[in-house]
Amino acid sequence: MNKIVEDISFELSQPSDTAQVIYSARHMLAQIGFDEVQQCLIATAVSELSTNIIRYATPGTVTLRIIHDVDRTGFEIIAVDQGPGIKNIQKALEENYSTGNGLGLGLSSVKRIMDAFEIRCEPGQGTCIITRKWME
Amino acid sequence: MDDRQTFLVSGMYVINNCLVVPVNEEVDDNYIKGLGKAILEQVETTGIRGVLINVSAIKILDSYSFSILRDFAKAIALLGANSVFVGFQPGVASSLVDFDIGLEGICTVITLEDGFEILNPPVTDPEQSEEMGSKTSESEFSDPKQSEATTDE
Repeated sequence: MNKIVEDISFELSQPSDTAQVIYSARHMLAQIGFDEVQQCLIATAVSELSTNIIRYATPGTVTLRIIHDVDRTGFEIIAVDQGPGIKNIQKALEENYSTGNGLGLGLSSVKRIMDAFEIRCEPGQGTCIITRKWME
Repeated sequence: MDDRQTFLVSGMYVINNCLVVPVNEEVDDNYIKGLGKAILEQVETTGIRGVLINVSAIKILDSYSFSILRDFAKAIALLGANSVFVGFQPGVASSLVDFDIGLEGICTVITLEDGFEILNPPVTDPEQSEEMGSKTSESEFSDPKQSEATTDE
């Protein structure tokens, strides 16, 4: 069980809401000690998850956390919505942008760049995504 | 002749016969769709043949917003103009590559100067175009070699 050091939640209901989430994410990532490139990469993951909520499942909530586990610090993103859910999670996680096809959710990319990724969803009952990146 | 015209919409301006479009740091869906529409309207109205899209202010760009930007380039091309993206930041570039997004079909440069050089658009002054047009039609019927030289210009 990870220890939560810092925790901040954002309600997302319109496109302009994502700006403050991304700003806060970058601030927290800098606090943890991630370098600039990692900050951009992980903040982009935050942006993907936030904009998915705005585009497909508004309103929703994104929670950003700084977490501790024994001897390491990490960054956790929890994206929750009450939207339509994802019918085919497997497909969403396998899609490749280079082909130009797919659901356009960026989930496979988020999963690849983060260290841990969980997605729970029931069609028609919303989606919950939890993902973590640990500081090396 | 002052060829610098400013359009109040979205802070775009024309310089060196190119439309320069500054893109905001925060790129949300409403903004980016509005921007795309404004760009296409300006290209169509002014007949400009080169567009420089200045993305140097953007620090974080999600994949969908990037795909919209990429679509701008395609739409601008359909209107017969060329476009160049100026100043993608290292963090954005690195993230786009890590996110494995299709990056083909866009032209990028680091500075506005490089962008102007690449676009090097033809003169769109109506008077000058008329002169050139009549020059071409005269030489077409007189000396084939001469007309070749004109079109090469």
